[in-house]
Amino acid sequence: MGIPRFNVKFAAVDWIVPFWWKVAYLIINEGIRDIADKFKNPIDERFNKVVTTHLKAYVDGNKMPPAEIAPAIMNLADDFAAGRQMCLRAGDYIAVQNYMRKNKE
Amino acid sequence: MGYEGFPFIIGWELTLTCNLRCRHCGSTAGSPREKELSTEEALSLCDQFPALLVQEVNFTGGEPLLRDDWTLIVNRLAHHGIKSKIITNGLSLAPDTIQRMKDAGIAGVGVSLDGLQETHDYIRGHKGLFQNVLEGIESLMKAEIPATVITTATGLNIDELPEIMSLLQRIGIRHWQIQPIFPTGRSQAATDLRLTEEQYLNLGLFYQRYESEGRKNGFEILPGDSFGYFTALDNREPPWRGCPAGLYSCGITSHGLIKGCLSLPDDVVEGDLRTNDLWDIWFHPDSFRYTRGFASDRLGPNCRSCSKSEQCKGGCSTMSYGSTGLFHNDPFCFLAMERRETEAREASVSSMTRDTCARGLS
Repeated sequence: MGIPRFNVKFAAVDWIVPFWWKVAYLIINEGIRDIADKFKNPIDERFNKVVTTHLKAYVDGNKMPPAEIAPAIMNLADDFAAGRQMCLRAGDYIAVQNYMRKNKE
Repeated sequence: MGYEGFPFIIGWELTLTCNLRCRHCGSTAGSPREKELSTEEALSLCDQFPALLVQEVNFTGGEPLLRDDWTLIVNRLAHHGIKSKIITNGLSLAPDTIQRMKDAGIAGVGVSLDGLQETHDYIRGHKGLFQNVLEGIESLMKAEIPATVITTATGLNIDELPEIMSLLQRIGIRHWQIQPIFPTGRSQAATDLRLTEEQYLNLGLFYQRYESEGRKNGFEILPGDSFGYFTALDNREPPWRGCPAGLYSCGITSHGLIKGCLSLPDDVVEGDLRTNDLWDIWFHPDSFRYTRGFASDRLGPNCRSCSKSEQCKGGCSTMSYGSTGLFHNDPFCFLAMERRETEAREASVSSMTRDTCARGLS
């Protein structure tokens, strides 16, 4: 199965991840969600850069992301293709951070 | 799937050094721990927080203001967009310190006040401290730094709570946290400070009576840990859902050990920041098993047969472990106490009935 292509050019990257609270999407404890909604700190720039780079490469250049973060990038790409607000799942966030830590990005 | 939550709130014991020797101190603070984190280590630790989505750090001690580099640490956190709050005994709240807090953008200060003058000074072992604390609070308010008064409820001050409340309202305090005393550290030996079951229920009655009235007047009474659960004495919404240690909060000791909660005894430790970084400790599959791995078969005898135990998971971890040596077994529970009271009443009635019948037969 080929990688899906998108008609819309992936240009407006600013709105990718300045919404850290979406990370709380898959959290286990209900109480965390209440707390998470109160906080608004942005995700750090290095993280944004890594996600943006791989997402853009996948959407625009049809380039498969590294295996460790492929689900995370493809989930975001799915949101993008469906016209939904992109939502970063907690597990995906952790996977990207682990990838960055492993590769010292 | 591994754990997918984050330590949004961190309690950080900056130093165990303290200029007081309070009789109820759960940390037995006084002298510094061996090999407390250096400034460089502390700042490097701050840099680990953004990836873990830390939102707020509450500095405790010991007395955190005795550490010379606290402003450097607060500034580093501010650089990362992380809020800092400080909990102090009030002895070091000099005008220049308050100005440094203001300049560093401290989001709030918790000041301990454990009774009226005589009681507070006795518990804290420092004559005149009560007055110092009031002056410090006044200065904080003048500097427009949000101040919360924190009272550890004990056997010695439980009857003073109404008067303390009036005092705080008079001086313009808006937030008052009441924390039942934990049986840990120095308080283990201070038997006069322990709350009896009756006093604990009275604490609940006090909260029930004054909380909503206070809220209407802009005065918030905030119950601390181990306050509840599931009776009319604690009708908070949402209701208590179990100990958050290791779920969305954790504690860091001054020598770099990670705990679920700083109030837990030092033998309940998840890792050492000098060996692993916070990310690895937080996400390690064996970390914080007592909360992350909760299952009903882990409930202790106090909670095993309770219909609410799936929800509260056996109450406050510190109170439970400190009182009974077990997790999920918190004996300080309104629901359990009320049940015991009812059972005792019923047993007494039943015994009286038996006696009456026996007399009737004889």
